[in-house]
Amino acid sequence: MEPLQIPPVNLILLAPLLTVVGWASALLLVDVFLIPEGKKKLTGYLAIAGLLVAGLVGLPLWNVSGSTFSGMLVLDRYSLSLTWIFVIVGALSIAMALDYLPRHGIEQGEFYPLIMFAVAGMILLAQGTDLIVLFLGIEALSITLYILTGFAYPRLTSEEAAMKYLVLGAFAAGFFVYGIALVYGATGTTSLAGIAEFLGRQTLVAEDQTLLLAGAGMVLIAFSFKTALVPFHMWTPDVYEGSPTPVAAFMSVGTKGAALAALLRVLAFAFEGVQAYWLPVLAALAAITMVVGNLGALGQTNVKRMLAYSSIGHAGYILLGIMVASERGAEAFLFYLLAYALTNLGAFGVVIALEQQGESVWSIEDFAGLYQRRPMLAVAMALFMFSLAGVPPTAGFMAKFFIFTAAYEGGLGWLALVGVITSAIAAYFYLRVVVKMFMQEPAREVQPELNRGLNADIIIAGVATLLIGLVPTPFIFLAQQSLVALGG
Amino acid sequence: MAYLNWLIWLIPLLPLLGFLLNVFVVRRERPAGLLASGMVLGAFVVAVVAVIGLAGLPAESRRIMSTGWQWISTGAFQVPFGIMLDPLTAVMVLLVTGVGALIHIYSIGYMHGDPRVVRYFAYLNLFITMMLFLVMGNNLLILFLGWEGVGLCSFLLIGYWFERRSAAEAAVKAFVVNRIGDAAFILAMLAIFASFGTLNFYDVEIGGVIQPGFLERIPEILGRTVGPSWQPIAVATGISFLLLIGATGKSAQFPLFVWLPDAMAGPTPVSALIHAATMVTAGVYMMARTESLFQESLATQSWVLWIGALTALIAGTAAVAQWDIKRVLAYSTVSQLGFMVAACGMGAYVAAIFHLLTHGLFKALLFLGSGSVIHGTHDTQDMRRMGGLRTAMPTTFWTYLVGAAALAGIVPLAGFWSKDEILAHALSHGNWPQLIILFLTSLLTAFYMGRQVALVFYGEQRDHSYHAHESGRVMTVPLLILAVGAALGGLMNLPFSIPGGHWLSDWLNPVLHEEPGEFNLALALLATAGAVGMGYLGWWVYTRNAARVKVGGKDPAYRYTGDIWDGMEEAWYLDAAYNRFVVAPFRALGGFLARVFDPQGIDGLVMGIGRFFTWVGGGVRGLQSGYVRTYALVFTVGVLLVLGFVLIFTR
Repeated sequence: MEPLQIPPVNLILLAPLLTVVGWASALLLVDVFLIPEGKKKLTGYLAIAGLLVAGLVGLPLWNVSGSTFSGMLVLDRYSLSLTWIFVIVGALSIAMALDYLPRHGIEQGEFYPLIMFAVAGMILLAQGTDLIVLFLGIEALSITLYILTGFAYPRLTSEEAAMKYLVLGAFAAGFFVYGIALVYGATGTTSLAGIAEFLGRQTLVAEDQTLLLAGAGMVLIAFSFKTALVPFHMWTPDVYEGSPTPVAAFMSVGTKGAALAALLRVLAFAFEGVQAYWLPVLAALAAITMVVGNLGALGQTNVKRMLAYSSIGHAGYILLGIMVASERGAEAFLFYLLAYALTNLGAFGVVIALEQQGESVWSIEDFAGLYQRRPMLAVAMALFMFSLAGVPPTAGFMAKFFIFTAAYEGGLGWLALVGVITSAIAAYFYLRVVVKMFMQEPAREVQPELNRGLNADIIIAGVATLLIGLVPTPFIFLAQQSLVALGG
Repeated sequence: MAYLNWLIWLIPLLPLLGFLLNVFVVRRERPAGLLASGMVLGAFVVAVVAVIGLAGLPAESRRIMSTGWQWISTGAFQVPFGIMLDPLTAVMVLLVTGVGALIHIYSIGYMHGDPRVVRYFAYLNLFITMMLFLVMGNNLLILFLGWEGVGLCSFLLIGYWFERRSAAEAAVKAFVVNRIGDAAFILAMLAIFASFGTLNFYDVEIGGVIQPGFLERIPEILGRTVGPSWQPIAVATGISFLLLIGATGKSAQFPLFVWLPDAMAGPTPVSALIHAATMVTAGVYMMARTESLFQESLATQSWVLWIGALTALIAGTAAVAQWDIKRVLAYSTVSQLGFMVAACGMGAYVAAIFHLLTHGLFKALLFLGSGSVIHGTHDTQDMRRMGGLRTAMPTTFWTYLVGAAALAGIVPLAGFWSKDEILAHALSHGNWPQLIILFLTSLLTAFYMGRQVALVFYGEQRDHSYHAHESGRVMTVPLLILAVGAALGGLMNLPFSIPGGHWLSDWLNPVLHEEPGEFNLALALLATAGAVGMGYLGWWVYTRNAARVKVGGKDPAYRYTGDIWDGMEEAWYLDAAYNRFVVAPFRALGGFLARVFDPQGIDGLVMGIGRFFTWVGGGVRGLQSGYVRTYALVFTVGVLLVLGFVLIFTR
């Protein structure tokens, strides 16, 4: 019998990921045994510190690249940049939660390590170059999110949201596994590079092609669920509405971003050879996602639901960058992700500030007359709304402009047209929030609560939104550098 | 002239500073008004100094480019955050800051005592900043920044008195209609970048590297295109047509002018500044700036010409039949913008800019005059409730008369010269149908101004529920200054070969490359006679029949025109048509989509599909929540569509 070969493992390449996982595991114990009840905020600060350390650990790896675990995981600049984005998203989400949890009476120390585990799942998605690893990443992310969604358990909507998310998520996971199996059946491998090599090497016989396409289609469906593309989006508004607001914020940018980042790698490397098949599907999904997401937001009076639909629409725009299989497209994708993540986290931060204790109503009416009471908060929210709507000189405008030009140049002019028209419609509902804040008297007494964590989130997001809009060049440069030596 | 490089940045930055201070620091009315006015006045002074410096340069080098920083830099995609000052920008900047400063000062009196006045001045300063970026930007992206910015400020200011339902609705309407134009503008930018590889207007040198501009290279670039011979023309037509749609939104042209009359719900100084003198001229400015692109496409040019001429006529007829003092002026503005757009369509860009400048002066005067009337009659806007105000408000009356005569085109006031130049150009280039339309419109213009002056200032006061009084000095002094401008503005571009003649043509020549227009004495005489005659007629009819004008009653002319009058009053029912054919179906679609895709209102169709698949699938029923079942079913439909497409249709 031949001895089992253990492939060489280079743990350095996984340093940020291991830092997050290790820190989170340790923090769970520390939280239980060392941090007394009522001081759980400390756990939150430690979690933020852990995420920042993971980000710093990544810094010296900028010029390192390589793969390990038999080519199942890779470290390249693309994954590293995404890691940084996810770390920031995680840290800002925790910052938002610091006072949110006690205010709503749901403070539990494990909330913070759970967010860290979710970030770890996202990093895994960014680094994975094998369908199995991507599945692991998605599940690690999803399982923590099921818990986090139901974290506000005294509230019925929260439990309901977790339940819905779990049932549908399991449904989608089934598609993913089955898709992987079919792809394996057709190509004999689950590695992205292997699939690409197989497709490049030979022409498929009819049965194998059917297997491969069905498999790829199912993998695409699973990703579409995670990124909430129409018609796989139905859970989104309910889940965002029901889950604790910091979790909704985290999901709206983190989960979406990680799944899209992995999708980019899968499509651009593994299935590049069958682009002719998935491009029309993805184009159709993007188009209806943009239309339905933005039209769906039009009628919402609940801000959380409005932001949920808005995030659906934005996924459609981000998809444009993925479809254009060019560097410009990938660059625009990364830039959009960053701009959208920071803007949306800021917007959710303001929503949290306005969320009253023990209430589960997020009526747009609560924004009425905010300018009179808290001018700075209103100006910040206006900035986020303009950025989401794509008004210059904010980050959102630059991002939209890049992604539409990339799409136009990449021969997807009609999708750029759909994008421009839907974002023209979208401006209407973002502006409604601005109208409420600046052009109406307060409907009822709402006392915005701002504390350190929330302040930091809103200030960081606000400054970044303006900075990326005014001086986008360094960020574009970073995105370009991230794509150097991007490999499967 | 190195100092100009930094000096011109002060022009937009001073009002921006005023805006920031008013938003974050100032809390009281008086300092807010003084600060805002001071900043715009400062910008005007800087602009004068800069333009004098610019005039000191030889004609061919009158283009100051100043780059703040590289805004976008990715591969071939280079856009600087840069502004410029050239002759075309110079006249726009002087108009915006000059008229803007007067209107700021006027606002101190007009808005006195308003509870949110600090915010008002902040918005006004932000508007000036954005308008300056619009006219000073040295690339399309900065122009677009200003374009969106002025739209936003316009929106905020139309809805400034948001307690009034009409104001809030008008604000949203303006915004939505403008979005149509903006979307076209973005598409035009994408197409320009894809076709020309740059968004810069002119070559910019940054750090020794020349970044090319597209405006001066259009024939070259289009000539280089490989492919069928019609392609360059198709590209130019497509892009310029998209830009035209953008202009019809912002400059309130047919079929998108419907927002402007409603925009009168904003404070009157706002109407004067934004909805008459500056913002609405952005489309005309943009077309003049990208003139070399429009010149490549005869098809677009004829569209521009027809849209301008028809807008002028439609809005001119509508202005005749209005009762609201501001709506008359609003339709008149749309009509005059039509003159400018038509001039662009004829290729007479100098005439368009000339009319833009003189119109900016006398229309601002008229709006501020109407504001003075509204102020002095305690918020009366219905002209049926006015009458005989000339004795109570002498300064307002005399200045208004100057503005009305200038608009009507009475020699030798400003409007005569600029309108005549457009008509003369139409004549000399044989654009007969448009010449006739524009000439008829100018007769209508004189008529409705005569009617308005008679209704407001002559006869007896018809409603005695208020005591009319003249406005204070802070409001009448700007009126006097603007009246001087409206009287003498024509001196800018006298159509004679005398010293100082053709000044504007010569000044703009480096940008627009246009020879001075010809003067046609016969046409000028005819137009003047027509204007005087129709103006007198309008005045005469409504002073003779003043007794028949009743509060809430019909117009005396209604007896003779009937339905036609109703049509004019409603601007030929364009609004109603939009509501019927666009707004209502869109609402229905939105409601439908909300029902289908928003789980809160699931019914009918989806449940139907749901039942169908439940019936097909049988076992899916086991899930507990009806909603989750529905979601899973929609999911399944998606799966079937995706897999079906991949497996069947791509074979």
